[in-house]
Amino acid sequence: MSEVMTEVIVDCSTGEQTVRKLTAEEVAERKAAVEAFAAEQAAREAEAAQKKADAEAKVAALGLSVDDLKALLG
Amino acid sequence: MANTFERIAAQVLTSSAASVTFSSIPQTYTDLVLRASIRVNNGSNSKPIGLAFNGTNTSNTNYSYRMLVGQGSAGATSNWGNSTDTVQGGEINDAVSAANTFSSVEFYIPNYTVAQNRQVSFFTAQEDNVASYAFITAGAGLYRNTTAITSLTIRQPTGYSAYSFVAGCSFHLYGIKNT
Repeated sequence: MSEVMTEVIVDCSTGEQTVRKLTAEEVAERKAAVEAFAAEQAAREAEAAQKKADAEAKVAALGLSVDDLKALLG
Repeated sequence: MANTFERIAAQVLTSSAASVTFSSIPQTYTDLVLRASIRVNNGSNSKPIGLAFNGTNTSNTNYSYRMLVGQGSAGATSNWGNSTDTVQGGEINDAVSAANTFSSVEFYIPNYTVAQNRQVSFFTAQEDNVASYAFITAGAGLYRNTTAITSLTIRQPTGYSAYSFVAGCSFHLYGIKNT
């Protein structure tokens, strides 16, 4: 049986609490974007990894290692 | 310390809920603090928490966040991003976390009644009772909308597997002012 997703609403002016079932659209919205978001996240991580690799290559071309840089920068 | 730091409203869940909203927030304070103890029912090694202002309408775009994340067995990392529906906060306990453990979460919203873009800072401690896997997150978010805040919704950010807060989660909204 699929879970019924609800929202609890607390009215701060009265203290009244109500429970509302999420609409089908709201549930779908929460579930639908996972793949697109994961792709965007993966692209961002790949870009960061490439930048790091490029920087390390530049350091190596100077005859230094990353540990050398860390020692220099403290 | 502020002269006034008082609880506006609170909610302790007796059954699961996908989101919790504090509505009709009084406009008589300077800052808001939302503190929560949270665990969710979906499992994949941590889920982020999200905070939305004035409803979760997806046309309320232009949320962004920057955070620093520390894990028990690795060095700190940074994370950042944009969202259409929430300021994305830190990781919280989920179904694969140690039983009966909850994350401690705080969102601080300064000057929530002033007509300016909305800043928020957050801190999350995921407490798992294990030495090798826990997240501490500190960060800041921005909501590019100058409307005064009258409601806050704490929920799953867009893009992550759907989850609900489990029974026992607690949410406390406080108001702060210097008078």
